[in-house]
Amino acid sequence: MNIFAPINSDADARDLVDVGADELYAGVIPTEWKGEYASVKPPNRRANEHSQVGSLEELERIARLCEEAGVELYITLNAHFYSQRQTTLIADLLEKLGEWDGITGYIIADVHLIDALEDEIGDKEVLVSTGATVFNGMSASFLADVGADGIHLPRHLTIDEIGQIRETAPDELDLYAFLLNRNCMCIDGNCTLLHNPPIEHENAERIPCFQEFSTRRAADGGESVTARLFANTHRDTEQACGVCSMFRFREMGLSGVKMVGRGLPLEEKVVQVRFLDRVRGLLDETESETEFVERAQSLVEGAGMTCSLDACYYPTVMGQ
Amino acid sequence: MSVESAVFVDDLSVLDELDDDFDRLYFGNEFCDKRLPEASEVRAARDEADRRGVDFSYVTPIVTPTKLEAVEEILTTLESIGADDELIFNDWGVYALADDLGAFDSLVAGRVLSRQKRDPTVTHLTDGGSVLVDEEGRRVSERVLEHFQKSSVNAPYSRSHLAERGIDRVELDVLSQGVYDEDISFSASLYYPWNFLTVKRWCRESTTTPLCNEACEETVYSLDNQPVMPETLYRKNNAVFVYNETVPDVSYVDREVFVPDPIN
Repeated sequence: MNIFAPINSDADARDLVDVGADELYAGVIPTEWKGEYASVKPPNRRANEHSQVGSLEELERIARLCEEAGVELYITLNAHFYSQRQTTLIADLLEKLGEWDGITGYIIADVHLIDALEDEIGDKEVLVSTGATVFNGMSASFLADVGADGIHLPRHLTIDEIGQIRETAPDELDLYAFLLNRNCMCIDGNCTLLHNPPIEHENAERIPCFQEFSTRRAADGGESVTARLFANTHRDTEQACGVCSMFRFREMGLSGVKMVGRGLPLEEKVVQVRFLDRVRGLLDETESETEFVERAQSLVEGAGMTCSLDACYYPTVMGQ
Repeated sequence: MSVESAVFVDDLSVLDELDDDFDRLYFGNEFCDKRLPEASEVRAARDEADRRGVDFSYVTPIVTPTKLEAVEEILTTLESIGADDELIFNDWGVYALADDLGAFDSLVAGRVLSRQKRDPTVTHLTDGGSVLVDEEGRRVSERVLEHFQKSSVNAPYSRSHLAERGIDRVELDVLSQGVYDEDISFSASLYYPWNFLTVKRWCRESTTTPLCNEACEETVYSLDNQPVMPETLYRKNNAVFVYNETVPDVSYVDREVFVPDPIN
Protein backbone atom coordinates (compact mmCIF):
# COMPACT_ATOMS: atom_id res chain seq x y z
CA MET A 1 0.00 0.00 0.00
CA ASN A 2 1.58 3.21 -1.20
CA ILE A 3 1.95 6.46 0.73
CA PHE A 4 0.86 9.38 -1.44
CA ALA A 5 2.37 12.57 -0.05
CA PRO A 6 2.28 16.30 -0.85
CA ILE A 7 5.33 18.41 -1.67
CA ASN A 8 6.09 22.02 -2.56
CA SER A 9 9.88 21.88 -3.12
CA ASP A 10 12.77 19.66 -4.12
CA ALA A 11 13.79 19.49 -0.45
CA ASP A 12 10.33 18.08 0.34
CA ALA A 13 10.70 15.47 -2.38
CA ARG A 14 14.11 14.31 -1.16
CA ASP A 15 13.18 14.11 2.51
CA LEU A 16 9.74 12.53 2.07
CA VAL A 17 11.09 9.83 -0.22
CA ASP A 18 13.77 9.15 2.39
CA VAL A 19 11.17 8.49 5.09
CA GLY A 20 8.86 6.27 3.04
CA ALA A 21 6.72 8.18 0.52
CA ASP A 22 6.12 6.15 -2.64
CA GLU A 23 4.15 8.67 -4.65
CA LEU A 24 4.35 12.47 -4.53
CA TYR A 25 2.13 15.23 -5.79
CA ALA A 26 2.70 18.92 -6.32
CA GLY A 27 1.15 22.02 -7.81
CA VAL A 28 2.72 24.71 -9.94
CA ILE A 29 1.41 27.95 -11.44
CA PRO A 30 2.84 28.66 -14.91
CA THR A 31 4.16 32.20 -15.42
CA GLU A 32 1.52 33.06 -18.01
CA TRP A 33 -1.26 31.89 -15.70
CA LYS A 34 0.13 34.02 -12.87
CA GLY A 35 0.10 37.03 -15.18
CA GLU A 36 -3.56 36.57 -15.99
CA TYR A 37 -5.03 35.29 -12.74
CA ALA A 38 -2.32 35.95 -10.15
CA SER A 39 -2.77 33.43 -7.35
CA VAL A 40 -6.41 34.47 -6.84
CA LYS A 41 -7.57 31.73 -9.17
CA PRO A 42 -4.82 29.09 -9.31
CA PRO A 43 -5.05 25.98 -11.51
CA ASN A 44 -4.91 23.73 -8.47
CA ARG A 45 -7.11 25.24 -5.74
CA ARG A 46 -4.25 26.48 -3.59
CA ALA A 47 -4.10 30.25 -3.48
CA ASN A 48 -1.14 30.25 -1.09
CA GLU A 49 2.18 30.62 -2.89
CA HIS A 50 3.79 28.34 -0.31
CA SER A 51 1.56 25.47 -1.43
CA GLN A 52 3.09 25.62 -4.90
CA VAL A 53 6.43 24.51 -6.28
CA GLY A 54 8.21 27.81 -6.92
CA SER A 55 8.92 27.41 -10.63
CA LEU A 56 8.89 25.00 -13.55
CA GLU A 57 12.66 24.75 -13.23
CA GLU A 58 12.32 23.47 -9.67
CA LEU A 59 9.56 21.10 -10.78
CA GLU A 60 11.89 19.72 -13.44
CA ARG A 61 14.52 19.06 -10.77
CA ILE A 62 11.90 17.26 -8.70
CA ALA A 63 10.86 15.19 -11.71
CA ARG A 64 14.47 14.10 -12.27
CA LEU A 65 14.84 13.27 -8.60
CA CYS A 66 11.67 11.14 -8.68
CA GLU A 67 12.78 9.36 -11.82
CA GLU A 68 16.11 8.48 -10.24
CA ALA A 69 14.46 7.34 -7.03
CA GLY A 70 11.77 5.32 -8.81
CA VAL A 71 9.03 7.40 -7.19
CA GLU A 72 5.82 8.45 -8.92
CA LEU A 73 5.14 12.17 -9.30
CA TYR A 74 1.73 13.67 -10.07
CA ILE A 75 0.82 17.27 -10.84
CA THR A 76 -2.42 18.65 -9.42
CA LEU A 77 -4.91 20.24 -11.79
CA ASN A 78 -7.86 19.86 -9.50
CA ALA A 79 -10.00 22.96 -10.01
CA HIS A 80 -13.65 22.00 -10.31
CA PHE A 81 -13.91 23.62 -13.72
CA TYR A 82 -11.81 25.78 -16.02
CA SER A 83 -12.60 28.43 -18.58
CA GLN A 84 -11.65 27.74 -22.18
CA ARG A 85 -8.70 30.15 -21.86
CA GLN A 86 -7.47 28.36 -18.76
CA THR A 87 -7.75 25.05 -20.59
CA THR A 88 -5.42 26.41 -23.26
CA LEU A 89 -2.90 27.41 -20.59
CA ILE A 90 -3.12 23.94 -19.07
CA ALA A 91 -2.67 22.33 -22.47
CA ASP A 92 0.54 24.37 -22.89
CA LEU A 93 1.72 23.20 -19.48
CA LEU A 94 0.98 19.55 -20.25
CA GLU A 95 2.86 19.73 -23.53
CA LYS A 96 5.94 20.76 -21.58
CA LEU A 97 5.44 18.26 -18.75
CA GLY A 98 4.75 15.51 -21.26
CA GLU A 99 8.43 15.61 -22.23
CA TRP A 100 9.61 14.88 -18.68
CA ASP A 101 9.86 11.18 -17.87
CA GLY A 102 9.77 11.90 -14.14
CA ILE A 103 6.15 13.06 -14.30
CA THR A 104 3.85 10.07 -13.88
CA GLY A 105 0.56 11.84 -14.40
CA TYR A 106 -2.01 14.39 -13.35
CA ILE A 107 -4.63 14.72 -10.63
CA ILE A 108 -7.78 16.08 -12.26
CA ALA A 109 -11.18 16.88 -10.77
CA ASP A 110 -13.03 18.08 -13.87
CA VAL A 111 -14.39 15.08 -15.75
CA HIS A 112 -14.72 17.10 -18.94
CA LEU A 113 -11.08 18.19 -18.82
CA ILE A 114 -9.86 14.58 -19.00
CA ASP A 115 -11.72 14.19 -22.24
CA ALA A 116 -10.72 17.59 -23.62
CA LEU A 117 -6.98 17.15 -22.99
CA GLU A 118 -6.72 13.52 -24.03
CA ASP A 119 -4.00 14.31 -26.59
CA GLU A 120 -1.95 16.47 -24.22
CA ILE A 121 -2.24 13.90 -21.42
CA GLY A 122 -0.90 11.29 -23.82
CA ASP A 123 0.56 8.29 -22.04
CA LYS A 124 0.66 9.98 -18.64
CA GLU A 125 -1.72 8.69 -16.00
CA VAL A 126 -4.88 10.41 -14.79
CA LEU A 127 -5.80 10.18 -11.14
CA VAL A 128 -9.26 11.56 -10.52
CA SER A 129 -9.32 14.01 -7.63
CA THR A 130 -11.67 13.69 -4.70
CA GLY A 131 -13.28 16.79 -6.23
CA ALA A 132 -14.96 14.52 -8.77
CA THR A 133 -17.05 12.94 -5.94
CA VAL A 134 -16.91 9.26 -6.80
CA PHE A 135 -19.33 7.75 -4.30
CA ASN A 136 -20.17 4.44 -6.01
CA GLY A 137 -18.76 1.79 -8.34
CA MET A 138 -20.80 2.93 -11.34
CA SER A 139 -19.28 6.38 -11.00
CA ALA A 140 -15.80 4.82 -10.79
CA SER A 141 -16.50 2.80 -13.94
CA PHE A 142 -17.75 5.92 -15.72
CA LEU A 143 -14.55 7.76 -14.85
CA ALA A 144 -12.47 4.78 -16.05
CA ASP A 145 -14.32 4.98 -19.37
CA VAL A 146 -13.49 8.66 -19.61
CA GLY A 147 -9.80 7.92 -19.06
CA ALA A 148 -9.05 7.64 -15.35
CA ASP A 149 -6.31 5.30 -14.16
CA GLY A 150 -7.03 5.89 -10.50
CA ILE A 151 -9.37 7.65 -8.11
CA HIS A 152 -8.87 9.53 -4.86
CA LEU A 153 -12.04 8.58 -3.03
CA PRO A 154 -14.01 11.17 -1.03
CA ARG A 155 -13.27 11.51 2.66
CA HIS A 156 -16.96 11.09 3.38
CA LEU A 157 -17.25 7.39 2.65
CA THR A 158 -17.37 4.70 5.30
CA ILE A 159 -14.98 1.78 5.20
CA ASP A 160 -17.79 -0.53 4.08
CA GLU A 161 -18.70 1.83 1.26
CA ILE A 162 -15.08 1.99 0.15
CA GLY A 163 -15.04 -1.81 0.13
CA GLN A 164 -18.20 -1.90 -1.99
CA ILE A 165 -16.68 0.53 -4.48
CA ARG A 166 -13.50 -1.54 -4.66
CA GLU A 167 -15.58 -4.65 -5.40
CA THR A 168 -17.57 -3.07 -8.21
CA ALA A 169 -15.03 -0.70 -9.80
CA PRO A 170 -12.80 -2.02 -12.61
CA ASP A 171 -9.90 -4.04 -11.18
CA GLU A 172 -7.30 -2.01 -13.05
CA LEU A 173 -8.46 1.22 -11.43
CA ASP A 174 -6.21 2.30 -8.54
CA LEU A 175 -8.18 3.50 -5.52
CA TYR A 176 -6.80 5.69 -2.75
CA ALA A 177 -8.31 6.76 0.58
CA PHE A 178 -7.48 9.83 2.67
CA LEU A 179 -5.61 9.73 5.97
CA LEU A 180 -4.24 12.44 8.30
CA ASN A 181 -4.38 16.23 8.30
CA ARG A 182 -7.25 18.42 7.24
CA ASN A 183 -10.49 16.53 7.57
CA CYS A 184 -12.65 18.75 5.36
CA MET A 185 -16.14 19.09 6.77
CA CYS A 186 -17.68 19.48 3.35
CA ILE A 187 -17.74 17.07 0.45
CA ASP A 188 -14.98 18.48 -1.73
CA GLY A 189 -16.68 18.44 -5.12
CA ASN A 190 -19.97 19.64 -3.68
CA CYS A 191 -18.41 22.54 -1.85
CA THR A 192 -18.63 25.79 -3.80
CA LEU A 193 -16.89 27.95 -1.18
CA LEU A 194 -13.55 29.56 -1.95
CA HIS A 195 -10.87 27.11 -0.93
CA ASN A 196 -8.41 29.63 0.44
CA PRO A 197 -8.96 33.29 1.28
CA PRO A 198 -7.40 34.47 -1.98
CA ILE A 199 -8.99 37.89 -2.22
CA GLU A 200 -7.05 40.82 -0.83
CA HIS A 201 -9.74 42.76 0.98
CA GLU A 202 -10.19 44.34 4.38
CA ASN A 203 -13.03 41.93 5.12
CA ALA A 204 -11.40 38.80 3.77
CA GLU A 205 -10.61 36.51 6.67
CA ARG A 206 -10.55 32.79 7.09
CA ILE A 207 -12.40 30.62 4.61
CA PRO A 208 -16.11 30.27 5.44
CA CYS A 209 -15.86 26.85 7.10
CA PHE A 210 -13.56 28.31 9.79
CA GLN A 211 -15.44 31.53 10.39
CA GLU A 212 -17.51 32.02 13.55
CA PHE A 213 -21.16 32.80 12.81
CA SER A 214 -23.92 34.19 14.95
CA THR A 215 -26.27 31.25 14.57
CA ARG A 216 -29.98 31.18 15.42
CA ARG A 217 -33.17 29.45 14.33
CA ALA A 218 -34.40 31.22 11.21
CA ALA A 219 -38.10 30.76 11.94
CA ASP A 220 -38.34 32.56 15.27
CA GLY A 221 -34.95 34.18 15.77
CA GLY A 222 -34.29 32.08 18.85
CA GLU A 223 -31.22 32.44 20.99
CA SER A 224 -28.02 33.25 19.15
CA VAL A 225 -24.92 31.14 19.63
CA THR A 226 -21.51 31.69 18.09
CA ALA A 227 -20.53 28.66 16.07
CA ARG A 228 -18.82 27.49 12.92
CA LEU A 229 -20.66 26.45 9.78
CA PHE A 230 -21.78 22.99 10.85
CA ALA A 231 -20.97 23.12 14.56
CA ASN A 232 -22.97 20.90 16.87
CA THR A 233 -24.71 19.03 14.10
CA HIS A 234 -21.82 17.63 12.16
CA ARG A 235 -18.25 16.55 12.72
CA ASP A 236 -15.89 19.46 12.60
CA THR A 237 -12.28 18.42 12.96
CA GLU A 238 -9.17 20.05 11.57
CA GLN A 239 -6.64 17.37 12.51
CA ALA A 240 -7.68 13.90 11.45
CA CYS A 241 -6.09 10.47 11.59
CA GLY A 242 -7.68 7.19 10.46
CA VAL A 243 -4.50 5.08 10.21
CA CYS A 244 -6.14 2.10 11.92
CA SER A 245 -8.17 1.59 8.75
CA MET A 246 -5.03 0.63 6.80
CA PHE A 247 -5.51 -3.00 7.81
CA ARG A 248 -8.86 -3.15 6.03
CA PHE A 249 -7.65 -1.03 3.15
CA ARG A 250 -4.94 -3.58 2.47
CA GLU A 251 -7.46 -6.42 2.62
CA MET A 252 -9.71 -4.58 0.16
CA GLY A 253 -6.84 -4.02 -2.23
CA LEU A 254 -6.60 -0.24 -2.13
CA SER A 255 -3.52 1.04 -3.94
CA GLY A 256 -2.59 3.67 -1.42
CA VAL A 257 -3.40 6.24 1.21
CA LYS A 258 -3.24 9.95 0.51
CA MET A 259 -2.33 12.73 2.91
CA VAL A 260 -3.05 16.38 2.14
CA GLY A 261 -1.00 19.41 3.14
CA ARG A 262 1.01 20.77 0.22
CA GLY A 263 1.68 23.95 2.17
CA LEU A 264 2.62 22.36 5.51
CA PRO A 265 6.16 22.82 6.85
CA LEU A 266 8.50 20.06 5.72
CA GLU A 267 9.18 19.00 9.31
CA GLU A 268 5.50 18.20 9.81
CA LYS A 269 5.28 16.27 6.58
CA VAL A 270 8.33 14.23 7.53
CA VAL A 271 6.81 13.30 10.90
CA GLN A 272 3.58 12.27 9.20
CA VAL A 273 5.07 10.22 6.40
CA ARG A 274 7.39 8.51 8.87
CA PHE A 275 4.34 7.76 11.04
CA LEU A 276 2.40 6.33 8.10
CA ASP A 277 5.40 4.25 7.07
CA ARG A 278 5.75 2.88 10.62
CA VAL A 279 2.04 1.99 10.74
CA ARG A 280 2.30 0.40 7.31
CA GLY A 281 5.14 -1.71 8.66
CA LEU A 282 2.78 -3.05 11.31
CA LEU A 283 0.71 -4.66 8.56
CA ASP A 284 3.44 -7.28 8.22
CA GLU A 285 4.16 -7.52 11.93
CA THR A 286 0.66 -8.21 13.23
CA GLU A 287 -1.59 -11.24 13.03
CA SER A 288 -5.01 -9.67 13.45
CA GLU A 289 -6.83 -6.39 12.97
CA THR A 290 -7.26 -6.07 16.73
CA GLU A 291 -3.53 -6.32 17.29
CA PHE A 292 -2.84 -3.95 14.39
CA VAL A 293 -5.26 -1.29 15.70
CA GLU A 294 -3.88 -1.58 19.22
CA ARG A 295 -0.30 -1.09 18.05
CA ALA A 296 -1.20 1.64 15.55
CA GLN A 297 -3.04 3.57 18.26
CA SER A 298 0.02 3.36 20.49
CA LEU A 299 1.98 5.29 17.84
CA VAL A 300 -0.50 8.16 17.40
CA GLU A 301 0.71 10.36 20.25
CA GLY A 302 4.30 10.04 19.09
CA ALA A 303 3.21 11.63 15.82
CA GLY A 304 1.83 14.63 17.69
CA MET A 305 -1.83 13.66 17.40
CA THR A 306 -4.53 12.37 19.67
CA CYS A 307 -6.71 9.35 19.00
CA SER A 308 -10.39 10.29 19.20
CA LEU A 309 -13.64 9.43 17.54
CA ASP A 310 -14.09 12.93 16.15
CA ALA A 311 -10.60 12.91 14.66
CA CYS A 312 -11.02 9.53 12.97
CA TYR A 313 -11.78 9.50 9.25
CA TYR A 314 -13.31 6.06 9.43
CA PRO A 315 -14.74 5.59 12.93
CA THR A 316 -16.18 2.14 12.23
CA VAL A 317 -12.64 0.90 12.73
CA MET A 318 -12.99 2.16 16.33
CA GLY A 319 -16.10 0.05 16.79
CA GLN A 320 -18.52 2.90 16.00
CA MET B 1 -37.11 32.93 -25.88
CA SER B 2 -39.90 31.64 -23.68
CA VAL B 3 -38.90 30.65 -20.19
CA GLU B 4 -40.35 27.49 -18.70
CA SER B 5 -41.45 27.65 -15.08
CA ALA B 6 -40.76 24.80 -12.69
CA VAL B 7 -41.36 24.06 -9.02
CA PHE B 8 -39.04 21.81 -7.00
CA VAL B 9 -40.40 19.94 -3.97
CA ASP B 10 -39.48 16.86 -1.97
CA ASP B 11 -42.96 16.66 -0.44
CA LEU B 12 -46.06 16.85 -2.63
CA SER B 13 -48.13 18.47 0.13
CA VAL B 14 -46.05 21.65 -0.32
CA LEU B 15 -47.76 22.09 -3.70
CA ASP B 16 -51.02 22.90 -1.89
CA GLU B 17 -49.45 26.11 -0.64
CA LEU B 18 -48.20 27.25 -4.05
CA ASP B 19 -49.73 28.79 -7.18
CA ASP B 20 -50.65 26.26 -9.83
CA ASP B 21 -48.99 28.32 -12.48
CA PHE B 22 -46.01 26.15 -13.44
CA ASP B 23 -45.04 23.99 -16.42
CA ARG B 24 -42.89 21.34 -14.78
CA LEU B 25 -42.71 19.53 -11.47
CA TYR B 26 -39.29 18.72 -9.99
CA PHE B 27 -39.36 16.01 -7.33
CA GLY B 28 -36.57 14.41 -5.31
CA ASN B 29 -33.49 15.67 -3.52
CA GLU B 30 -29.95 16.66 -4.36
CA PHE B 31 -27.75 16.54 -1.32
CA CYS B 32 -28.36 13.46 0.81
CA ASP B 33 -29.07 9.92 -0.27
CA LYS B 34 -30.44 9.07 3.18
CA ARG B 35 -33.42 11.15 2.12
CA LEU B 36 -33.96 9.31 -1.14
CA PRO B 37 -37.71 8.87 -1.66
CA GLU B 38 -39.32 5.47 -1.97
CA ALA B 39 -40.16 4.30 -5.49
CA SER B 40 -43.85 4.68 -4.62
CA GLU B 41 -43.33 8.36 -3.72
CA VAL B 42 -41.62 9.04 -7.04
CA ARG B 43 -44.46 7.27 -8.86
CA ALA B 44 -46.96 9.41 -6.93
CA ALA B 45 -45.07 12.55 -7.95
CA ARG B 46 -45.07 11.41 -11.57
CA ASP B 47 -48.84 10.85 -11.34
CA GLU B 48 -49.30 14.28 -9.76
CA ALA B 49 -47.47 15.88 -12.67
CA ASP B 50 -49.77 14.00 -15.04
CA ARG B 51 -52.84 15.11 -13.11
CA ARG B 52 -51.73 18.72 -13.36
CA GLY B 53 -50.81 18.38 -17.02
CA VAL B 54 -47.18 19.38 -16.46
CA ASP B 55 -43.88 17.72 -17.31
CA PHE B 56 -41.87 15.84 -14.72
CA SER B 57 -38.23 15.90 -13.57
CA TYR B 58 -36.93 13.38 -11.07
CA VAL B 59 -33.93 14.78 -9.16
CA THR B 60 -31.31 12.51 -7.61
CA PRO B 61 -28.39 13.20 -5.24
CA ILE B 62 -24.91 11.78 -4.92
CA VAL B 63 -25.46 8.16 -4.00
CA THR B 64 -23.46 5.63 -2.06
CA PRO B 65 -23.33 2.00 -3.27
CA THR B 66 -26.36 0.76 -1.34
CA LYS B 67 -28.48 3.73 -2.37
CA LEU B 68 -27.49 3.28 -6.00
CA GLU B 69 -29.43 0.02 -5.82
CA ALA B 70 -32.42 1.98 -4.52
CA VAL B 71 -32.14 4.44 -7.42
CA GLU B 72 -32.03 1.50 -9.81
CA GLU B 73 -35.24 0.17 -8.28
CA ILE B 74 -36.90 3.55 -8.72
CA LEU B 75 -35.77 3.88 -12.33
CA THR B 76 -36.89 0.38 -13.25
CA THR B 77 -40.32 0.67 -11.62
CA LEU B 78 -41.27 4.11 -12.92
CA GLU B 79 -43.96 3.80 -15.53
CA SER B 80 -45.47 6.13 -18.10
CA ILE B 81 -42.38 8.30 -18.44
CA GLY B 82 -43.20 10.98 -21.01
CA ALA B 83 -40.94 12.12 -23.80
CA ASP B 84 -40.45 15.47 -22.04
CA ASP B 85 -39.76 13.95 -18.63
CA GLU B 86 -36.23 14.16 -17.28
CA LEU B 87 -33.82 12.58 -14.88
CA ILE B 88 -31.66 15.20 -13.21
CA PHE B 89 -28.50 13.55 -11.89
CA ASN B 90 -25.89 14.90 -9.50
CA ASP B 91 -23.68 11.82 -9.62
CA TRP B 92 -21.99 10.36 -12.69
CA GLY B 93 -22.79 6.87 -11.43
CA VAL B 94 -26.50 7.69 -11.58
CA TYR B 95 -25.97 9.04 -15.08
CA ALA B 96 -24.23 5.81 -16.14
CA LEU B 97 -26.96 3.70 -14.54
CA ALA B 98 -29.77 5.65 -16.21
CA ASP B 99 -27.95 5.57 -19.52
CA ASP B 100 -27.60 1.79 -19.25
CA LEU B 101 -31.24 1.33 -18.31
CA GLY B 102 -32.55 3.80 -20.89
CA ALA B 103 -35.02 4.89 -18.25
CA PHE B 104 -35.37 8.51 -19.40
CA ASP B 105 -34.89 10.03 -22.84
CA SER B 106 -33.58 13.21 -21.29
CA LEU B 107 -30.69 13.28 -18.81
CA VAL B 108 -29.79 16.59 -17.19
CA ALA B 109 -26.62 17.51 -15.25
CA GLY B 110 -27.74 18.76 -11.84
CA ARG B 111 -26.59 21.92 -10.13
CA VAL B 112 -24.12 20.05 -7.92
CA LEU B 113 -22.23 19.11 -11.09
CA SER B 114 -22.27 22.59 -12.62
CA ARG B 115 -19.40 23.52 -10.26
CA GLN B 116 -20.33 27.20 -9.93
CA LYS B 117 -18.46 29.11 -7.22
CA ARG B 118 -21.30 30.26 -4.99
CA ASP B 119 -19.31 31.66 -2.06
CA PRO B 120 -20.71 35.17 -1.38
CA THR B 121 -17.22 36.38 -0.45
CA VAL B 122 -16.49 36.40 -4.19
CA THR B 123 -18.30 39.76 -4.15
CA HIS B 124 -15.31 41.21 -2.28
CA LEU B 125 -13.80 41.28 -5.78
CA THR B 126 -16.34 43.90 -6.82
CA ASP B 127 -15.71 45.89 -3.69
CA GLY B 128 -12.08 46.89 -4.10
CA GLY B 129 -10.55 43.46 -3.53
CA SER B 130 -7.43 42.18 -5.28
CA VAL B 131 -6.43 45.27 -7.20
CA LEU B 132 -3.49 43.59 -8.90
CA VAL B 133 -2.98 44.89 -12.41
CA ASP B 134 -1.75 42.77 -15.31
CA GLU B 135 0.55 43.85 -18.12
CA GLU B 136 -2.41 45.20 -20.10
CA GLY B 137 -3.46 47.40 -17.22
CA ARG B 138 -6.53 45.27 -16.54
CA ARG B 139 -7.36 44.48 -12.96
CA VAL B 140 -6.85 40.79 -12.30
CA SER B 141 -9.98 40.92 -10.20
CA GLU B 142 -12.11 41.65 -13.28
CA ARG B 143 -10.85 38.55 -15.05
CA VAL B 144 -11.24 36.42 -11.94
CA LEU B 145 -14.70 37.80 -11.25
CA GLU B 146 -15.72 36.89 -14.79
CA HIS B 147 -14.45 33.36 -14.16
CA PHE B 148 -16.44 33.09 -10.95
CA GLN B 149 -19.60 34.15 -12.79
CA LYS B 150 -19.20 31.17 -15.09
CA SER B 151 -19.73 27.45 -14.73
CA SER B 152 -18.82 24.39 -16.74
CA VAL B 153 -21.53 25.31 -19.27
CA ASN B 154 -19.54 28.38 -20.33
CA ALA B 155 -16.55 26.32 -21.49
CA PRO B 156 -16.89 24.82 -24.98
CA TYR B 157 -14.86 21.77 -23.93
CA SER B 158 -17.39 20.99 -21.19
CA ARG B 159 -20.41 21.55 -23.42
CA SER B 160 -18.86 19.33 -26.04
CA HIS B 161 -18.30 16.51 -23.54
CA LEU B 162 -21.81 16.87 -22.17
CA ALA B 163 -23.32 16.83 -25.65
CA GLU B 164 -21.35 13.70 -26.55
CA ARG B 165 -23.02 12.03 -23.58
CA GLY B 166 -26.47 13.10 -24.73
CA ILE B 167 -26.78 15.83 -22.09
CA ASP B 168 -28.12 19.14 -23.38
CA ARG B 169 -29.12 20.94 -20.19
CA VAL B 170 -27.37 21.93 -16.98
CA GLU B 171 -28.85 23.22 -13.75
CA LEU B 172 -27.48 26.43 -12.25
CA ASP B 173 -27.93 28.68 -9.24
CA VAL B 174 -28.34 32.42 -9.12
CA LEU B 175 -24.96 33.77 -7.97
CA SER B 176 -24.29 36.72 -5.68
CA GLN B 177 -21.59 37.88 -8.12
CA GLY B 178 -23.89 37.52 -11.16
CA VAL B 179 -24.31 34.80 -13.77
CA TYR B 180 -22.18 35.23 -16.88
CA ASP B 181 -24.20 35.82 -20.04
CA GLU B 182 -23.11 34.91 -23.54
CA ASP B 183 -24.58 33.46 -26.70
CA ILE B 184 -24.17 29.69 -26.45
CA SER B 185 -26.07 26.74 -27.89
CA PHE B 186 -26.97 25.02 -24.68
CA SER B 187 -29.89 25.07 -22.29
CA ALA B 188 -29.71 25.90 -18.62
CA SER B 189 -32.09 26.21 -15.69
CA LEU B 190 -31.72 28.72 -12.87
CA TYR B 191 -32.77 27.82 -9.33
CA TYR B 192 -34.10 30.46 -6.93
CA PRO B 193 -34.36 31.68 -4.22
CA TRP B 194 -32.46 28.97 -2.29
CA ASN B 195 -29.00 28.52 -3.73
CA PHE B 196 -26.79 25.93 -2.15
CA LEU B 197 -23.22 26.69 -1.05
CA THR B 198 -21.90 23.48 0.37
CA VAL B 199 -22.82 20.00 1.48
CA LYS B 200 -21.38 17.58 3.98
CA ARG B 201 -22.07 14.03 5.00
CA TRP B 202 -20.76 13.49 8.51
CA CYS B 203 -23.91 14.02 10.54
CA ARG B 204 -24.29 13.23 14.19
CA GLU B 205 -26.98 12.95 16.77
CA SER B 206 -24.63 13.44 19.65
CA THR B 207 -20.98 14.03 20.28
CA THR B 208 -20.28 10.33 20.42
CA THR B 209 -21.82 9.08 17.20
CA PRO B 210 -20.13 10.86 14.32
CA LEU B 211 -21.49 8.54 11.67
CA CYS B 212 -24.15 9.70 9.29
CA ASN B 213 -27.59 8.86 10.59
CA GLU B 214 -31.21 9.00 9.55
CA ALA B 215 -32.25 11.56 12.15
CA CYS B 216 -31.10 14.68 10.38
CA GLU B 217 -32.65 17.79 11.84
CA GLU B 218 -35.28 19.81 9.98
CA THR B 219 -34.69 23.23 11.54
CA VAL B 220 -33.35 26.03 9.34
CA TYR B 221 -30.66 28.13 11.03
CA SER B 222 -29.49 31.57 9.94
CA LEU B 223 -25.76 32.26 10.15
CA ASP B 224 -24.43 35.82 10.22
CA ASN B 225 -20.88 37.11 10.08
CA GLN B 226 -21.10 40.42 8.25
CA PRO B 227 -19.10 42.04 6.77
CA VAL B 228 -16.66 39.13 6.46
CA MET B 229 -19.44 37.02 4.98
CA PRO B 230 -21.43 39.54 2.93
CA GLU B 231 -24.72 37.62 3.09
CA THR B 232 -26.68 35.68 5.67
CA LEU B 233 -26.21 31.95 5.24
CA TYR B 234 -28.88 29.36 6.03
CA ARG B 235 -28.19 25.84 7.19
CA LYS B 236 -30.63 22.98 6.88
CA ASN B 237 -29.77 19.32 7.32
CA ASN B 238 -26.37 18.73 5.74
CA ALA B 239 -26.30 21.75 3.42
CA VAL B 240 -25.80 25.51 3.56
CA PHE B 241 -27.69 27.98 1.38
CA VAL B 242 -27.99 31.66 0.52
CA TYR B 243 -31.24 33.38 -0.40
CA ASN B 244 -31.37 35.13 -3.79
CA GLU B 245 -34.83 36.24 -4.84
CA THR B 246 -33.93 38.11 -8.01
CA VAL B 247 -33.54 35.97 -11.12
CA PRO B 248 -31.23 37.58 -13.67
CA ASP B 249 -31.93 37.58 -17.37
CA VAL B 250 -29.45 35.18 -18.96
CA SER B 251 -29.79 34.38 -22.66
CA TYR B 252 -29.15 30.63 -22.43
CA VAL B 253 -31.45 30.15 -19.41
CA ASP B 254 -34.79 28.88 -20.66
CA ARG B 255 -36.13 27.54 -17.37
CA GLU B 256 -36.55 29.01 -13.90
CA VAL B 257 -36.88 26.60 -11.00
CA PHE B 258 -38.62 27.86 -7.89
CA VAL B 259 -37.35 26.11 -4.75
CA PRO B 260 -39.81 26.99 -1.97
CA ASP B 261 -37.65 25.53 0.82
CA PRO B 262 -34.00 24.62 1.18
CA ILE B 263 -34.35 21.04 0.03
CA ASN B 264 -32.02 18.23 0.85
